[in-house]
Amino acid sequence: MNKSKKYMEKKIESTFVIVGGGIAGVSCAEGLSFLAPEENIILITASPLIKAVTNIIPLGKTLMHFDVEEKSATTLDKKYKMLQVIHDTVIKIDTIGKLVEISNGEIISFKILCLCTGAKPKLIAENNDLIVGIRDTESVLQFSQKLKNAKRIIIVGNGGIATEIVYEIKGVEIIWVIKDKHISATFVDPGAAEFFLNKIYSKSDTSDNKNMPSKRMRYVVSDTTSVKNGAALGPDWHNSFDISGTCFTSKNVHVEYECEISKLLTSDEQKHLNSTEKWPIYAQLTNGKIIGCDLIISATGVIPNSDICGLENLKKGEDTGLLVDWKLETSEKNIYAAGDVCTADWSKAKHWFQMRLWTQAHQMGRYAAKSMVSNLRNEEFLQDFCFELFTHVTKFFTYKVILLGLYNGQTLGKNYEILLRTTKDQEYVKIILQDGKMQGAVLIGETDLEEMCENLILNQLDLSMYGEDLLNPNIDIEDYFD
Amino acid sequence: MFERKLKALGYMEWDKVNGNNTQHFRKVILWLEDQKIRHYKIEDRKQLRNITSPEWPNVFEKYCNDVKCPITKNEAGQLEWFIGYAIWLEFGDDCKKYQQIVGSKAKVKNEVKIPNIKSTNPLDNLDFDNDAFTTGVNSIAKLLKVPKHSDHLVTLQACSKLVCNKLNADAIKQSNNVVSVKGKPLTAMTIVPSFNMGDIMLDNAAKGLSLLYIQDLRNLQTKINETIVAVQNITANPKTDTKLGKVGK
Amino acid sequence: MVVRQYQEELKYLEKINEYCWRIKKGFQPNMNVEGVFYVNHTLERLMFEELRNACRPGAVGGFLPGMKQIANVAALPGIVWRSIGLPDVHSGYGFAIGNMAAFDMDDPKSIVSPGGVGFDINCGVRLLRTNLFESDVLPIKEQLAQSMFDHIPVGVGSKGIIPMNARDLEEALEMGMDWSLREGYIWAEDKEHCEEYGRMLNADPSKVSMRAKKRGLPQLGTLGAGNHYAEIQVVDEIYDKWAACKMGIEEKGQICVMIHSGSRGFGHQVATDALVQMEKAMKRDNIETNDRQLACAHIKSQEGQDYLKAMAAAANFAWVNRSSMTFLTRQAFAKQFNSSPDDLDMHVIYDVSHNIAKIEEHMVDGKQKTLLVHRKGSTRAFPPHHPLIPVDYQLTGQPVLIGGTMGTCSYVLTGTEQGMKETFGSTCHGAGRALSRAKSRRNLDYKQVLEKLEELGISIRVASPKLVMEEAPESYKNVTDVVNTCHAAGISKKCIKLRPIAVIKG
Repeated sequence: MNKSKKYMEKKIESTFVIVGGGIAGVSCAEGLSFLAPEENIILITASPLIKAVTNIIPLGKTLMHFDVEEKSATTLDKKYKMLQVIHDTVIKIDTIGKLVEISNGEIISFKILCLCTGAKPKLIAENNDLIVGIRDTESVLQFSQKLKNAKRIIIVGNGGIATEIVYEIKGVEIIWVIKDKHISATFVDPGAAEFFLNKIYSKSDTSDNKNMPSKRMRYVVSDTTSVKNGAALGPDWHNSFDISGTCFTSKNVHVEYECEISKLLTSDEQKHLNSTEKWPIYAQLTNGKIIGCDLIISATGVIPNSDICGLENLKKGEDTGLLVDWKLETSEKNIYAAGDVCTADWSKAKHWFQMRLWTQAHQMGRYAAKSMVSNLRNEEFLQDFCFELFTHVTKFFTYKVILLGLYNGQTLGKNYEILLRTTKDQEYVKIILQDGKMQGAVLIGETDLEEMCENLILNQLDLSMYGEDLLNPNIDIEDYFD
Repeated sequence: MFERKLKALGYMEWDKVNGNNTQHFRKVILWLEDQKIRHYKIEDRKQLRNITSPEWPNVFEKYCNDVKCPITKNEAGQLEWFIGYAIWLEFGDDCKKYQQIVGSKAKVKNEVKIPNIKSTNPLDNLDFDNDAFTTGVNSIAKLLKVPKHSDHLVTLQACSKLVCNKLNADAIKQSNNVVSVKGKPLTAMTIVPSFNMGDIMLDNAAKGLSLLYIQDLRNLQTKINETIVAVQNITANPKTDTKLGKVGK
Repeated sequence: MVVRQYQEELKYLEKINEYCWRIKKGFQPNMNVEGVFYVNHTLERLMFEELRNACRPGAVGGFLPGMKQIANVAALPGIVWRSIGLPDVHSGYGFAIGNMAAFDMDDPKSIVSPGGVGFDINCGVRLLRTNLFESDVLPIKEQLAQSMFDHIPVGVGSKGIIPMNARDLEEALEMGMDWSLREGYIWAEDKEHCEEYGRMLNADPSKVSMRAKKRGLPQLGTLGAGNHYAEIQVVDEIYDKWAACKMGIEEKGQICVMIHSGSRGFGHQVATDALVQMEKAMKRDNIETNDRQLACAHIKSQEGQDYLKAMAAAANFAWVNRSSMTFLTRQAFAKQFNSSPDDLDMHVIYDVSHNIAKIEEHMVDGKQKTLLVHRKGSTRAFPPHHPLIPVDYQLTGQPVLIGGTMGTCSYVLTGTEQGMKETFGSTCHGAGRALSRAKSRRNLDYKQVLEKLEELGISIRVASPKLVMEEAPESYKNVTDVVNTCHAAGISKKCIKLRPIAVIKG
């Protein structure tokens, strides 16, 4: 009785509640405060808030004002009355009563909720200090600390973050363990991997171009106090961290193809090794090799953080992500999900698929806002065009990498052809064609072809008459379709 | 109303026409067709000629359609239009002759008429052709360094323009700071791609005219811009501060 | 394409004067008028080299040489005067980029062709001046460029930061720059200094597909990638002091900003939709062309009218897009220099379109005619005293902005009376051919990469190295050669040369 009265007093009401302060959550808050500046918004985040670092004057009245000088999230709520940021952990969500309970005992009631709780890295072993999962800002911090004294590390995983780490880490011997036949398989094909390989072995420590203007959205963490379950990494994450080891000898990368870590050696087993060197931790690979190192970095993908108490009834996909329809609404009405925590469950456009990337987290966050506001006002709206074409721009081994549409022939089976042009150390252009129409493209280096490819995939113009001439370097193809 | 026009056209009883009298009306229309408009062949005018027939209004309606008279209802209006039309045709037949007349005669008429209007403005009662007035104008022109025109009234106009544009309160204030007006008035004359009409005087005149035209156009465009800015102040999205080029407050 | 020996082909070509060649009827079938192209010595060599390569046995590629494309356009129904190739002419979809052709509006057979406009409808160049000098900007060049990047979204998948919803888009498509004005993003003077005053009056958003609108909405206020860019430039040379002065350019070293962008995916979708419609209309109306890519429809037909209205909407989109970027650029500068754009004198010098079709009045054989003028990769260049150019340029002629290849020089030219007569007031456009010089010199090697890819079991075609012609020294058309040719041929006049100091691109 007494307890419930206390709750009554502490109950906060808000039109919109967002759980999670990562890119999706923040993008959603930005979107909401722009589209419905008169409505209350509460953003609950356990981690430090991710901020977009630009000096753009805000479009709305709120959060978009991520000026570099902004100190922390708490100052935001003073400045912008309708948005409140609560630093706390969600304990329970009541989907029927539309209530969120947080760990300090407060209850927040909402009309519409958006879950942006992200995902956590899959770890090859729990509770081991020498195994680090790189996924979020907090783990990178931990990682850069540990790296300071390392001489040799093992990197497990073949995705974007693993690729970036391999290139960015300096002064450490790297053993890169991948289960595929070629590196960076999540993003590129074997041909592109071959193109990159050269760069891995010959990477120099001087390639520092941090002074170059950044062309994409920049993000930083609002404060650096370490909290559990930090927000996922944005692009160029390594710019804010010092990731170099102690050993100053030229770096050395060794790739172990088609294998995984089968087990970690126990201290007993370690004793049986007659090695001249002594390493803190040893791993056995599926190919039988036993490798010792200072640190194992696990970057093998993520599991959506969908196991919040009270959400048991929401429909989930095979990857445990919360299933959402084209409006990003979950199986429960008025509960939305965006970013890594959700799994797209609508009939997708031919050239789009979901991938847990910061770009999609941002797009989904913004779009969720649009969808939620339209729901509140009973307005009709259309699905955002960003779900028509998969687009990802990143940087691997200092090359600009652009992935468009079905860039690896995804969903096409073997029923497609590849058009290729490459120049060693300069560019790698791969175009996926089906029935003479472009379906996807991988563009590495300064190709200047991205806009043309984007347009040709969307136009579905018949290109069969050009044959391989389409990539003839003597034809200005980017101009041709202008 | 239309007496003078009818007189000019040579209608005998120009001073006796009563527009509201049906017979008068029909007579005039018929006369205009017979003498001036001649839209129909003579034999086709038979029905129109029968001005007492009850069918006449229908015939007239057809006639109106045939000559494309835009006025369909008001008889007085129609009469006005037909007389005007006849004059226009007359003028067209012999435009060279009439063009010469217009200048001098029209002017005389106007000047004669002006004093007839009783005005409270004392300036209207001035005798503009008075020698004293002419001398006055010329001495003002001399002071302002405006070249004299053979017609002192034109000189006066030029003086007035100069005073309005260059000697108003704002202009005087500015001239204290900047002595010479920015711009290159003479280079314009020399650089303007020339109109090649084979006569330097003619080319220069054309240049002058085109410069004047451009000045008018500039004034118009400036007014348009001012209007747009005035409208912008009402319509511009409050999210935006145009002066600072900012999106958002 | 008619395949003949190179020597045979040459019989159809005749040099009219030092800067102009004639393509005689018969070069391609059914030519209604002759073709011409403007070149100087260097460009001439490139044009003929291209033709020679196309005549070689076995060289049946998807790309026609520029001269053949010009001649195919000359065979379109209703074309008047000539099919004209400007000095920077090169391969394009349907029409070559740098081809101007006009069709008689009074001839019921006359056509409109989306290929004659291009996919990036109303792609164009806008030039802003400032009262800053190189010495003001150099010390903070990097910060300024970063500030521009922060304000203007670049690259694929980028989204505009100017708030727009579906209704705003609908209005913007109808109103063009009047929308930007109404919302307060730009200045009244910007409209004054823009071709068509920044608005095509015949725009009809209802003729635009939903997909085009969806595709365009997020892209408003974005620069794009590829050959689109914004550049901070310095006045490097002034050829016509008086005309430059009329544009507010007083001395060398003055800073300008050039924006080169168009209607992005919106225009592409409009063009693609129209191509599909017109292929059907061609069958129905029995219109025959030499090249399948020259899909077209009678101007007066439903398809023709619908396309013109949708194209006008796309043109309006492009103007709003460039206006939005003008606004963002002013904001970036204002921030860096802590001064208002007004105090920085950031006025629009002019804004030209180089992918558009417009109804204009021209003299054809001494008679005034109403024509539908297609300019693809070609800029309008009206002479002094033309009623459709801004009052400020009545005496100098219309400013023509020629964007150079990224990182090379750009130019401002002015329109001439001779250009009005010879090319219906059209001249080169200049941009493009980005990095081609470097590209054609690349050594393509595939061996290792191919070995790896073959494991996929997918058929692979490579951009065949055999097509990289050893004897073609540079297929690159230098913007200076192009501009000098236009100047020497008299179809426009050199005024200002600009050199870039920072490039903003995807």
